[in-house]
Amino acid sequence: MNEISRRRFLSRITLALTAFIGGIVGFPILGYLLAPLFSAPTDELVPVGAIMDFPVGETKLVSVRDPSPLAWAGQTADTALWVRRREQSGPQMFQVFNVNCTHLGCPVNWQAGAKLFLCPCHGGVFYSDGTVAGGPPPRPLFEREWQVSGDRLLVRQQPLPTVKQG
Amino acid sequence: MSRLREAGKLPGRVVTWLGERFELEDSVMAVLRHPVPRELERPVGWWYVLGSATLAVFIAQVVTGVGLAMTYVPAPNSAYDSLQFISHGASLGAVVRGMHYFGAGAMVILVLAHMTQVYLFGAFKFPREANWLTGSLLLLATLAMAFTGQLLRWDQDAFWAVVVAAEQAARAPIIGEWLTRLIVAGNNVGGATLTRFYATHVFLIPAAIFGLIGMHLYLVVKRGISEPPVAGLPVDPPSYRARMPRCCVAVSPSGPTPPGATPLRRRPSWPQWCCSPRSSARPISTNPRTRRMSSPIRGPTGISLGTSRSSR
Repeated sequence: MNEISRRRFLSRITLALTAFIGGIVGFPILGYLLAPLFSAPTDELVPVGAIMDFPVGETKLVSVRDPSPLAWAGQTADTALWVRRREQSGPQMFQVFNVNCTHLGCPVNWQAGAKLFLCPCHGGVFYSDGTVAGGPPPRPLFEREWQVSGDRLLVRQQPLPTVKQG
Repeated sequence: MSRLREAGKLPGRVVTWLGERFELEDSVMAVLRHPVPRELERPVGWWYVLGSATLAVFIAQVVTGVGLAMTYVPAPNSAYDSLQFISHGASLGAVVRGMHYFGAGAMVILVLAHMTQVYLFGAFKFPREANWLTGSLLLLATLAMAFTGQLLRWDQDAFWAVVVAAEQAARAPIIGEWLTRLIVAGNNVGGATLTRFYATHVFLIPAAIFGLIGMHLYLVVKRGISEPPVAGLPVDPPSYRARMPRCCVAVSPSGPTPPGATPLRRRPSWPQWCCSPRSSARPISTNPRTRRMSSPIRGPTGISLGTSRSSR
């Protein structure tokens, strides 16, 4: 029979108890800190404006409010999108772009004269349909799913798009 | 008159009283008097100022940072306005914010200059590799402070800096998406993002920096100040141990003790500055009434914590 000394037995019990207590204390703290990993992505359709506000052939900037912003979020809960009206109606009616450049996420600017999206950070350039015209972007602009409901244009909420998505 | 003379002695008595209670002679005073290589008396010594300069700026950053935190509101709807108030409304706010801002730049520059000096002098070599490693972590922590600090301004620059950081993190293999969500504290940059960065900048990273500075300074004192390099003189464990026999005794209880080395248990007490052979070391205690009563008290790691002394 394996015998262990009283001292060793007690020290092992102490270690085990300490680890147990540490786990009980540490688990909620860790869970709280890592909570953003477990929050469900927003997947709501939010209205961005009346369809007649978007003339055919034009690209306009719209602002979307986070559906459930924190009370102290202020302007930070607003997200900008570029809405391009392509046709009068039908499935090709709109193209909704995230404002983020596909290189590193800076906000692109629509230059109506040149018909190009320009990124201020590293010179990324996109055509009006979102495809890359030049610069470092590895892929076309991120697009949002949209729906027409009555005379309103709805856009699906989405996490911050990254180069690995879509 | 004699009363006045008595009162004049009071500060000295207080110092003596505190010194005895805290054993400052063995700890703080010994560290303050630690010897440095004689070469540092020459102008080359100025090269060794960069670490202390970084520490001085860091202390200034802590003090000005505490001051700013008393007014700054880390909420996305008021952060920018509270900084406008600090800069334009609060008394001396612009000065304190300016000190913090320029101090941040100075930190980065000084840390890099310090690292360059250490690298060029070969001071990262044996037995100071751990100094280099803790220093590397401190460099990362400094850069992390610079990043998290500048985005607390919560202006356009700050907001898009968060987005760019999140997009860069997303490119990391496997954990990229998780990192992105942790950085923006959710699915998008929003109400929760700023407070997380604030806590990171004010609590998390500074706590790590304090710990790392503690280790870094302990190692500087323990290993001694490095000597300027001499061309042709190798810095490797055998030759280093040969030149400084009391340095860096192997801690392994079973391992062989290097020739000429004092065994660990018999080593002199902690502040002996074993790594500075040509030092102008003064004896730690010159008081004849102080005598050594027992062997050094040792901590659990075998590091001597000081010598137990008593005066008759």
